[in-house]
Amino acid sequence: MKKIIALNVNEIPYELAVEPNRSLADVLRYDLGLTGTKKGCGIGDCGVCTVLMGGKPVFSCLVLAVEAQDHDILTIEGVAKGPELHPIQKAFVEKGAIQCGFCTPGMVLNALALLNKNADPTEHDIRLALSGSLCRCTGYQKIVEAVKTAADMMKRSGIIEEEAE
Amino acid sequence: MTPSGDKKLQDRAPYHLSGGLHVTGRSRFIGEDNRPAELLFAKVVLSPYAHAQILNINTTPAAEIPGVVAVLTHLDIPGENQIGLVPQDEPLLPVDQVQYVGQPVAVVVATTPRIAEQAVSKIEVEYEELDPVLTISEALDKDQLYIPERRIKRGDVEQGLQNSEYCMEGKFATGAQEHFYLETQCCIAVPGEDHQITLYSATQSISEVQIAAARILGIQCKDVTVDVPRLGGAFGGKERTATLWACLTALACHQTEKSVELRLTRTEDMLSTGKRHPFEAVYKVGFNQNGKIQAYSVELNSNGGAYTDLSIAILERAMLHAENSYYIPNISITGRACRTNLPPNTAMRGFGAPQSIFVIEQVIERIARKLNIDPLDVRLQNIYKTGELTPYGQPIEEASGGELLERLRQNSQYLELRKSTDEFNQCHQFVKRGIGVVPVKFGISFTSAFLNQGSALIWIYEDGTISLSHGGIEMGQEVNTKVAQVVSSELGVSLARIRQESANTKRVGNASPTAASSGSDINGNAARNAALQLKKRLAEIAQQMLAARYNLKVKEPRIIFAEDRIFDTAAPDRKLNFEEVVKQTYMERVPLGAHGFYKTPGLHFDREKGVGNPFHYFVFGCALTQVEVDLLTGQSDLLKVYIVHETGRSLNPEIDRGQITGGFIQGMGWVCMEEIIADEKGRYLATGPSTYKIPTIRDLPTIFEIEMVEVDREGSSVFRSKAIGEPPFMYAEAVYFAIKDAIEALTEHEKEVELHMPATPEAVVMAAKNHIHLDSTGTT
Ligand code: FES
Ligand code: FES
Repeated sequence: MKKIIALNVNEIPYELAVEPNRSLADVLRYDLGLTGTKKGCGIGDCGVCTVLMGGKPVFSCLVLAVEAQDHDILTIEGVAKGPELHPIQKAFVEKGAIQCGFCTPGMVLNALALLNKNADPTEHDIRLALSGSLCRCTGYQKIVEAVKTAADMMKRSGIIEEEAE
Repeated sequence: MTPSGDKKLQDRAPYHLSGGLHVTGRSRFIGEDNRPAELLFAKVVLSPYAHAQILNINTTPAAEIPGVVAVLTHLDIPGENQIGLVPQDEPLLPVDQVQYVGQPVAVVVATTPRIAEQAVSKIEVEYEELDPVLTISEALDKDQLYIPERRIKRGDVEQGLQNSEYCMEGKFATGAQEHFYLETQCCIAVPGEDHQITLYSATQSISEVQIAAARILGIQCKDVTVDVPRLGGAFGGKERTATLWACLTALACHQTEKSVELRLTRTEDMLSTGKRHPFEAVYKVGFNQNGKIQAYSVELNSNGGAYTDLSIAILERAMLHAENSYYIPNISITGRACRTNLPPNTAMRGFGAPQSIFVIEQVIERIARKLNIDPLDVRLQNIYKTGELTPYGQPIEEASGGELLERLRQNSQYLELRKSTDEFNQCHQFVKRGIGVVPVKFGISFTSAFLNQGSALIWIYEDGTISLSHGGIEMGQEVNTKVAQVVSSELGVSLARIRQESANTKRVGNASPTAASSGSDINGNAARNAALQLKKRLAEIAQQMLAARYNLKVKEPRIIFAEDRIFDTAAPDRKLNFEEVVKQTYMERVPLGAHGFYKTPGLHFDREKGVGNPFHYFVFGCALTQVEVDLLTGQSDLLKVYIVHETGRSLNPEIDRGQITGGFIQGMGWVCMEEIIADEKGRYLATGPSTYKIPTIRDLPTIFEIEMVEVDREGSSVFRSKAIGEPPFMYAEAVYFAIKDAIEALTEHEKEVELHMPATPEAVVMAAKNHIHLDSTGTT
């Protein structure tokens, strides 16, 4: 039996009928066409499906679409407001933190969640925040550099809004 | 060696061509673009046995489920049931016997993935279990070899051993490795008119998929189009392996005449697909008091799994790297590829070389221990010098290994590091530090000479924009960025003008697999060849235009293409726009398309005799690592990594740096974290990231310094660049030796420990335990 749910994704409201056992990842990818959210394991172990739910990173393969009702969902498609890249995205490109790109959306969203609550992360903070996301290509070094650079860029441009935890 | 580089090209070295798309979620992987509206889903019935007779397959209960469109077995294959290339030994779906756990036995096609899954569980296959052969030693006992043993020989090993002051013998085994590309195996097949079919396949080899699919379906290559936009990682795991899944999807599409998607779950992928070949080696070595090796004989035996796949080529590359960076006057290398009942082991970054290099490096470490000489000095003692010959007779033209090791010594402040490590060990009882060093020499080219060819197709459109196709598959190594750079630099146009097309059999035929680190070399050269043809034609028109417009008459025109303009050096201020020349070329009815071709020159290798020049050039480099090991928990932390890597005139240094880092970390996973165990029934126990641990961001070393030494050398590749994909993988072997060194600190390096590879925490504890003596108070 399908259930009608209201989802708020990237500040756009959707109403759609979903099976109660359908994961948020599948609904985002196949019902809403937001294929930036990837699937690598489907069981909460790789992090490529990460989206932000109420500002917190979640594995969208483990969240049922029906559970996502009433939460603000942010996917990679909603990170840049307008044509300008968000500083994190910019830093990922410029620091070469991308190879195949499959882990990139999840990495960027994890970094965003981190920088939103911690404007000045140490290397340790960065590693901790991103440790749920696997990358088989880059060896992570440039990802760490990108997040550091993004933090600097955001501080300089005053984008960081301190959020209560 | 004087560092230099093509500064012009490098200054303009772009970021990842698709970077902007990847970070916004707009890049499209297979199945994300133009998804057919009426798509069916395939799911595969996998063998639970490593070896069994198939007695009966009852598909009726599955076929009756509403929503199931077809259930297919080998009986439904219209063409030849064969996906092997050389030799042809692999059925798409087995007829009477399954040969490994996870082998596809039947395919269900249904309207939703869930129905397909249900139907799979309703298919009744009756098996009669047979005894599987799982290990190398069983296979050797039963003489299950893919080809008669191979040999490469020089000098007289027996004599060499007799003349040596010391002799040693030993064994070393290296483990399997799962590729763990983040995007699992997948394919979408779309039917077309007149029995045509288009396969969007996650493959590193469009031609191999095309040939195999045509054969399976009983149609011809002209009827099969294979298209690959990009891959979410591959590392060799989508070179041959992808063919199986692509052909199953093709079969499902052909039989239902509908578009079909097949996408493996992570568990299916890890259970059924082949890994890096495990190797077992037996060796003898003779050396002198100064550590100089006089004679070395090594037998390299690989576990090839259930079908040949690439086992023979991998064995060959292993044999061709058995001496790594060292000149050994008397040497004998024997290779055997064993057939077992594991999933067909396959290509993975390094392609056999990491395995054989590991053995000789282990030998070097043991020599150093035995003679009480610093292992770095033993390495320097034996390192290739310019002009020396490899065991297969190829000269090492500019041997830089020694020089690079010296640089590494300086960069890491080796003596101080040794000293501080020893001091640390003196005052810590159960936490020890260790250092490991490994030099690498890696030969570039496919060892099957015919594969060393590349094609490219360029069209310049009327508005001056460019369509670029080549045979290389983009899988994160940024072959697309590099090839586009080559074209943009030859034609003097901005990258924004260039559309890098997907890899497609309609635009590039006979494409070699994107493998052997050669993607940028062969495709970059082919694209350059096409660009040069076009440049010549455009230059002629430009010259006429300059003459007409500016009344410019030059005896020996030198037309330059730069910054989207075209001009003659004689009058550099009289410039033509690239577009206007293109337009005029079109009006003059001169073709604006060109097919470029490249074949790597000078390659030959006589397999029977084991002599020749199989490689176009070599890549050199070395690495040093320092680790800290908790000997009670077995946990090791990587503290420092120094790498010195010789590039050619790098097309894009940041891409190369990314490959070095990524390769190293992947190698580190192989040597100390990632372990694949099959149970006694031949079933892999690790089938997901929770049971198979690849490096995470937390495993990065505290210090990670990479020096790239740029060398301008005649014999390298496009614009004198060098391949980068595989060589850095082997640097990580230094992590294993550092861990071993740390454990041996327990006995002041007097006793050698036996350390299993991979050096997981468990292996470390096992290796250390005989040397740790705890009394009841917990002290030694
Ligand atoms: S797909 Fe969700 S964690 Fe792997
Ligand atoms: S870039 Fe390929 S997995 Fe991270």
